[in-house]
Amino acid sequence: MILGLVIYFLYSKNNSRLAQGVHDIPAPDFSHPGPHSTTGDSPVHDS
Amino acid sequence: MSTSPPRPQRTTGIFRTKTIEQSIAETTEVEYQLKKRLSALDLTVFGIGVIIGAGIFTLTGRAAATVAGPAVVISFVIAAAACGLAALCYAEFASTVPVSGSAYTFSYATLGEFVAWIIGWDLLVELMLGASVVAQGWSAYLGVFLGHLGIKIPESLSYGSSFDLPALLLVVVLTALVAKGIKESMRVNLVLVAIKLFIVLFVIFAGIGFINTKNYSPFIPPAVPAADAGHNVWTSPLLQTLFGIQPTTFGVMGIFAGASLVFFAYIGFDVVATTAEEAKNPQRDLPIGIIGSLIICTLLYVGVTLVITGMLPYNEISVKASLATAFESVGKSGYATLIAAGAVAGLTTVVMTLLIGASRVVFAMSRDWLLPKSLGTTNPKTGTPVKITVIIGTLVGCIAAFTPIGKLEEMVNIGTLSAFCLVSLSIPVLRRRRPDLKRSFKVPGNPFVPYLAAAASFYLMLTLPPRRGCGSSSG
Repeated sequence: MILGLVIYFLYSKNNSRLAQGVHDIPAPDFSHPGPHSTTGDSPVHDS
Repeated sequence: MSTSPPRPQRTTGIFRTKTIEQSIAETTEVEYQLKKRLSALDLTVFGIGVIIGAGIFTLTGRAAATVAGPAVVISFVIAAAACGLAALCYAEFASTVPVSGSAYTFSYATLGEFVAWIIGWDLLVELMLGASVVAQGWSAYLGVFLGHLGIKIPESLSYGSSFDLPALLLVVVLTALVAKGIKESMRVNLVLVAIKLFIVLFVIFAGIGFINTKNYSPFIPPAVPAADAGHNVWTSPLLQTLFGIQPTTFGVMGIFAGASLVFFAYIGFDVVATTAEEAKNPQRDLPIGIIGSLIICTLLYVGVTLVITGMLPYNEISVKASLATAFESVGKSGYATLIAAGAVAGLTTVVMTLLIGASRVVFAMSRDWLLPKSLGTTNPKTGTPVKITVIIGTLVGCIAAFTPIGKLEEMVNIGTLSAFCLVSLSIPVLRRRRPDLKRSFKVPGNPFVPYLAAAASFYLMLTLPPRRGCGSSSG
């Protein structure tokens, strides 16, 4: 596990797709009521 | 339930999260494309293949003899319910994010890259160690099975020697099969699971005739102090050791102690989620595969437990080879050969499934470029990540053949329970952050059920003793 942490900070942290911004597809922004929601409420209803 | 507006996800730092859209888009990249060939039946059989190993023939009796008596049947149902909570969470995630990698992928989408990295390594170590330990167990059962047939493996090459040849050969053959293709692997899996199920059902139906209902009384034996039952600080649950609680066996508490013990017989359903990307209709079929395999395995465990506790008084059940001994006690010693054959078939599918799971976790990490990206490219002919499969097979084969790692199986269980915790806690996070996502399966009672699942997994981690042979990582 320690080896894993070393690899992460030395290699993966700077080389991941997210770090390099490759094919970055952002998620919709739900932080304010907009075209996704007219009420600000979550469309998810728990069963 | 109405919730406050979700927070936007992090895009920088070590806790940056990956969007579901991006994860799904990457599954269509030609160099990282896996073949979508698995049906709901394949996934269910895959789940049964990894959950049920040799434990069904030994753990059932051991739990009855040492902690719960005939009431171990209730222990199995409680453990299945606790496991079912986590299974519901895996089912929702797998139906929402049908991408390889299981808990690693789910964590990347919710808790961030660093947590995903940790859980990815955790899963990888768990699956590889699990495969190595089970390969050695397979070698041991092969020796027993061949011994019944009058064939003897040279001691210098058998289980327990410094070079376990059968374990190595098993891993080599299964690695080649896994590299050849997922459908080919599933065909072999189907045949072996059918053999395993036939033997388990045969044992159940053959045993029914020898059940003496008097053996079910007392159904819940009176509690006795654990010290009187031979337990000490190294074999008592960590929770009781830490808080100085006087441990007991049998009685009502024995049922819960039994549930902790047999919980580990259900571990493995989570590996189904690692193949999410290879399912034809993941939104529908993954929840069926995960929950269906858990239900079928629960019924089989309960059936075998009822038979073994009905055939012998609970205090006469053998701890080591409970089912075989039970049949010997009624003059059916020949059944021991059949049981050994069932264990060999059972453990073969466990090793294969764990190899597939490990390769898919590394595949997912490599596709995210957290590991060298060239590692994860799939072979256009086979549609499998051949390079990763061969590397993992080589490592597992060497560990199984040359190291005495049998005692590490408890560590495997801690790794699995950590993954259960994280996946369960991630459900409310993703619900809140991405309420728009299509969820073809939803955990009922969010956030209470996911929190309960996480709490149950955490509790079970605390019940693991410092040193205990608490059963195989996979049944």
